[in-house]
Amino acid sequence: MPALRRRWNALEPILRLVGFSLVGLACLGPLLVLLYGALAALPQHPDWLLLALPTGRRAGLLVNSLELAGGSALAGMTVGFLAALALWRMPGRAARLLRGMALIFLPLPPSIHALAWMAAAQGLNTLLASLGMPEIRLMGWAATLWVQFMALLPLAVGICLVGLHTLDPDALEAGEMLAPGLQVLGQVILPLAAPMLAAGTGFLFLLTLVDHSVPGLFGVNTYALDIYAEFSASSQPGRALLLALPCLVIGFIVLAGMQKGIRRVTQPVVWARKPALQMKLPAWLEILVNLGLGMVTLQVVVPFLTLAGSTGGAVRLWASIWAARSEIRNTFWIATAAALLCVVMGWLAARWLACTRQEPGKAGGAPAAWLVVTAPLAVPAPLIGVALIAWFNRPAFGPAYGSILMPMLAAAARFLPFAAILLAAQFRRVDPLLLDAARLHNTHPLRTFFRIRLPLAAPGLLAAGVVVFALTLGELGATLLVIPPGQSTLTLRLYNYLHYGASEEVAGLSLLLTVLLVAAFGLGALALSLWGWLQEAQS
Amino acid sequence: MIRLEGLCKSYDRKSPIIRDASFDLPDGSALAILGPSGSGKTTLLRLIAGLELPDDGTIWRDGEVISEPGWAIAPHRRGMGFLFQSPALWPHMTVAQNIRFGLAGWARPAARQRLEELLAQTGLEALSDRFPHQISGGEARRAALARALAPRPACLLMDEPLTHLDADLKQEMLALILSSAAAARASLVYVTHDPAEAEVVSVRVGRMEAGRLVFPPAGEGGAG
Repeated sequence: MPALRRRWNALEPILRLVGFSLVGLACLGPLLVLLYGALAALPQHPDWLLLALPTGRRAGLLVNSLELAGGSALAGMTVGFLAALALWRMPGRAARLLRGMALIFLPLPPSIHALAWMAAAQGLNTLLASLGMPEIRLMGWAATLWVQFMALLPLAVGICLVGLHTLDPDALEAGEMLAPGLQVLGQVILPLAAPMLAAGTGFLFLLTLVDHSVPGLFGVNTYALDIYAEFSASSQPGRALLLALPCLVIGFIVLAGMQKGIRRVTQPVVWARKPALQMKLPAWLEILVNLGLGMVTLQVVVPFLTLAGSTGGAVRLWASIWAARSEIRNTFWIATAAALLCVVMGWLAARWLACTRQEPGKAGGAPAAWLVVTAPLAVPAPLIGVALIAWFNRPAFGPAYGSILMPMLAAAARFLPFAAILLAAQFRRVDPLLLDAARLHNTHPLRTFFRIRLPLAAPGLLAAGVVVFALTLGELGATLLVIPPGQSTLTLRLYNYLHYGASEEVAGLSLLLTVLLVAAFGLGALALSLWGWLQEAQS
Repeated sequence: MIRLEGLCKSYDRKSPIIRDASFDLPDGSALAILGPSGSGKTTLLRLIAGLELPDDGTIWRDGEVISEPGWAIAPHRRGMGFLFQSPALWPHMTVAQNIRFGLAGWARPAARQRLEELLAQTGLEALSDRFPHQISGGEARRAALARALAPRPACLLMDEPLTHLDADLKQEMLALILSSAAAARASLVYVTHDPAEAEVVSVRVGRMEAGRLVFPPAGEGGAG
C-alpha cells in the first residue's frame, strides 16, 4: 500500500494538470478554434477585419441588443429583488409554497415563455375582437423585452433569494435594533447583497445578449442572431468570430465585473437560522414589493394557463407527443449525456476553482481560473455551434460530426460553468477536516475518493447534473447549427413550429417540455432533501 | 423599568422554548440569566428586543406596553441596545460609520459629539476609519458595544457577548461593558452560561430551566 500511495502521490500533480488542461480546453477551446481560423484566413481576406468594427446597421444592432439585454436585466433584477424581499420576509409554510411557485418555471427556456405569451395575446385578441376593440400586436422590441423580462424573472428571484439568504442574520438584526426598515434596507441589506445582485444583473444581461431565440420569434434582429445569419450565409467560422468580437468583448467585461458575486455563491456560508425581521417598510415600498410578487405570479399563471388551455385536449396532446417521439428521445439522450459530461468536467473544474485553502469570506482559486471556467457564459450561443462545426467538420471526425454527439457537446460547452460553480460551492461546504481525517488514516487516494470525497460531493453532483440536464432540454442557439441533418430536438421542433404562431401541437409539446423540466428539478430537489434527511438520520 | 409578565414562545407549538417568563428590571439595575445551551436564554433576550414576537404574555417599558400577542413596537423604537455573540459589524462600513448608524435622526453636531464620546469611551479613536476586517476581534467587540450604546438605550441586552474571547480580553471587555452601562445609566440583561461571569455582572441571577426563568430564593445567590 505505501508503494502504491507513493506512485499515486507522484501521479497526482500530473493528473491535476491534465484535468485543468481539459477544463481550459473545454471552456476556451471553441474560442481558440475560431481564433485560429480567423488568423489563418486574415492574410487572404484582410477586409474581414472590418467586421470586428460594427458600423452602420450593425452598430445600431449592437446598441439595440445592448439596450435589450440591459433593459431586461435591470427590469428583471429590480422586480425580482422586490419579489424576493417579500418572499424572504414572509414567515411559515405559505412562504415556502410561494417560493416554490415563484421558482417553478426557472428552467423553462425563454422560447416557451414566448409561445405562452403569444398564446395569451391570441386569447386576448379574440376577446378584444368580440368587444369590437382593436387587437394588440405582440411583436417587435417591446414584446421581446416583455417576454425576455418575464422569462428571466424566476432566475432573478432565485438569485436575489440566494443573495438575501447568504447575509449574516446577526448583522441584519443589529440594524433592525437601531434603525427603521428603510434605513436597514438601504444601508445594510442592499450594500451587503450588492455583489450578488450585480452578478445576477450581469448574468441576466449575458443570457439575453448571447441568446436569439426570443428576438427571433418576435421579428427582432439582434447581434446574436446576426452571428447566426452570418455563418449560415458564409459558412466562414473566422467571419463569425470577427463579427462576434464586439459582443464578446462586452461579454467578457461584464463577466469580469461579475466575478466577486459569482464567487460569493461558493462561500461556505450556511446560516443556522434566518433573521426574524419585522422590518416595516414605508407604504409606497410595500406596494412595490407586492407588485413585484404579482409580476412573479403572472409569470407562472400565464404560461401555465395558456399552455394547458391551448393543447386541444388529451387526444390531441397525445398525438402531438407521439409525432415528436424521435425528438423526445434525442432530447433525452442529449441532455443525459451533456449532464454526465458536465458533471465529470465540472468536477475537474471545481477542483481548480476551490483548490486553495479557504479564508473566511473569500472563495478559493485564482481569479484567472474563475474567468476561464466562466468564459462560456459570455460566448454567444451560435458562436459555440460555429466553433464546434469548425472543429469537427473534417474527415477524421466524420461519424461524430454527423451524430447527436454534436448537440451534446454544444450543450456541454455552454453549460459547463453552471456545473463547475455548483460543484465548487459543494466542495467549499465540505469541512476540510473530514478530508484531513481520511489522509491521517493513510487511506489510499482512490479509496478516499470513493468512500469520502464522492459521498460528500453527492448533493453538488446531483444539483449540477439536474441543472445541466434541464438547461440542455431548452438549448437552442447552438443546437440550431450543429444538429445533424434528419435529426431534431424537442426545442428545435418547437422553434420551427413557433414561426407559424402558437398552435395546439406547439402548446402540447411546450407543456410536455415544461412538465419534463419541472419534474427534473422537482426530482433533483427531492433527492437533495432525502440526502439531507439521510445524513441527519445517520448523525 | 422593564417588566415581563407571563411571556411564552414556541416554534413548533409542541415544545415551548419559553414558558411563563416574568420579572421586573428597575432602571439602572442588572440581571444575569444563566442556563445551558438550548434552554431559551437567547430567545428570551430576543423577545425583549422585539426580534421575536411572543405567543403569549406582555412586555412593558416604563409602564407602556411594548409587546403583547399580535402586536409589538418595532425593535428600534424600544430604546434598547443589543450585543450579539458575534460583533456583527457591517463589513462595508468603517468603525465610525457602524457606530453612527443608529444616530441617523440626530442633528449632525450632536451625532458627531456622541460618536467622539463613544470612540473615547471604548478606546477606538485611532481605529474609527478602519473597516471591520482591519481590526482585531477584541476591537470589533468594543466597536459593537459602542454601536449598541450610541442612541443612549435605556436597556442593554447582551447575548453571551464574551464568547470566543481569551481570558484577559474577557475581563477587559466585561469591565468596559459594566462601566459603559453604568455611565449610560442603562439597565442590563446579560445572558451567559458562565456562573462566574454572571456573578460579576449582577447580584441578581436568574436561571433558565426547560424554558422557565427561575430565581433562587433570596440569600441563595439571587433575588426574584
